[in-house]
Amino acid sequence: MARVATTGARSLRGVEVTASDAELIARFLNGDGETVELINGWTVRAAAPFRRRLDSEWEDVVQEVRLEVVRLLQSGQYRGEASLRTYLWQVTAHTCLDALRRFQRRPSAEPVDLDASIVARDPSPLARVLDRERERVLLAALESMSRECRELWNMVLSGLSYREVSLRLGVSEGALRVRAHRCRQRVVAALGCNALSPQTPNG
Amino acid sequence: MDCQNVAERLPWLLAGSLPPEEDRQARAHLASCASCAKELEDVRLAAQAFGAHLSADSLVELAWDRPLSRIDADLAQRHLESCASCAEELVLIRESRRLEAQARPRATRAPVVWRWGALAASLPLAFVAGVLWRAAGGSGDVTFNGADRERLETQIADLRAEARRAQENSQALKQQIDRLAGPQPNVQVVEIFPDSLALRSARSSQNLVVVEADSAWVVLLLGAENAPAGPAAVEVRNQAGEVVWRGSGLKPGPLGGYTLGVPSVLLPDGRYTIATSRQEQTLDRYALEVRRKQ
Repeated sequence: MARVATTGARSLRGVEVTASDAELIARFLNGDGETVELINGWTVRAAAPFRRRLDSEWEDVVQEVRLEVVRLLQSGQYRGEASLRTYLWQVTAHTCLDALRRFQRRPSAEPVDLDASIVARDPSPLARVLDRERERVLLAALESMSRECRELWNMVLSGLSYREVSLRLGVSEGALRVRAHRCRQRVVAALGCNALSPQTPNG
Repeated sequence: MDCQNVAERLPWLLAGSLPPEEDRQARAHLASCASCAKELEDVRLAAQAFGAHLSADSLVELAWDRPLSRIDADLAQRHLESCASCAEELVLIRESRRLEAQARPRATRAPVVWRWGALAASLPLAFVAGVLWRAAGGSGDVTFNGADRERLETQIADLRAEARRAQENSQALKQQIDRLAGPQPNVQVVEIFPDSLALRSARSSQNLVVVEADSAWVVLLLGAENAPAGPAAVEVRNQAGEVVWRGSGLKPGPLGGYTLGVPSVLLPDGRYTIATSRQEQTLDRYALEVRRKQ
């Protein structure tokens, strides 16, 4: 039976050392004050490196992490592959990174939503393969593109109009649109090739 | 607007940056043209590929040195070498992991600064013991005349002062380590440009960097005129031409240019040059003048 600590940081460390992860989860979900404080302390510490980048959003993201932790633990998602602390640390890093990507408005893989009526209803076979091996296929296709294509599309996805991109690259608007079109054809062809040559991650 | 005009504008339609009138016309065309709607799906796929980054799952796996479950490790590594934002994100997650390692319960061993401090403090005692042992000559009887006693007391006082300074230094070092281990508010960020750009050099040939008194780090945003696609090397020299610091792996950000975090102790007041290079070809030179804020 785990020793149940009573007060203060010293006793919290006592909980951490002696209580099993299952007991910690049970106490946390039962609202045990010290265990909640311990786990909240982990999330705050795990999120600390993201504080400067998330700026004023940081507090909200930490709150988001807390809700996610409750959701994951309540639904039994933690299966004990790593210690509870490592698991929660990774959940926190993951959630902070997702938030960072949301807030940075970085060139997005899913730009503006279009009206459903103008989007093709049936996904292509390529789109179906992408759903299964998205990360590998996309990164391999991106890697095979020329620097010029990547720069051009990076500017497009950053929200620059074709006039702004043409000024930056010093080409006419018409030539720019044709160049973007050719880059698109190349990358879609590369996606097709990569999707047809599955690989096993080797870690 | 015909099919060709619409097809050429699809990337900007998807990114939401078409002029309003063209946006309206393109949407109207797409609503009634199955061929262009199909084309739009290709553009969406292209946007996904050109905007692709390592997933958060993969970055977390990399940071915790776990086998990658989704992609090949070599592909991930190559992407990290060409994508500054993924590389920066990995640094943040690794920093988080480092904090986890620090949070583990520690053995009773004292921190390194305290061990060194204790060692410094023990030196005078060891010295005195040695003197006593030599003076005794193995006989066990120790006698000092007045001059010897005075000399030894002076030496002991000097060594105690030295030990006190070592203790103070170790405390200062510990404070510095503590500051570096956590988030640092108000990190100074200084934007500097290469000599070749007339933007600043028209006013002054030196980029003046005024370092705040309590600033542990200065982050230099190096505007680059000649940033290559791959990582660059960097060298910082003082006004005597001596190398203060040299490193490699400087990666350009999405808009060009680099960031370089420099501990402020590395830059005492004076003039410096920073040079970036790739494959031994100099890319840009920056002239700095560093002053401490009084």
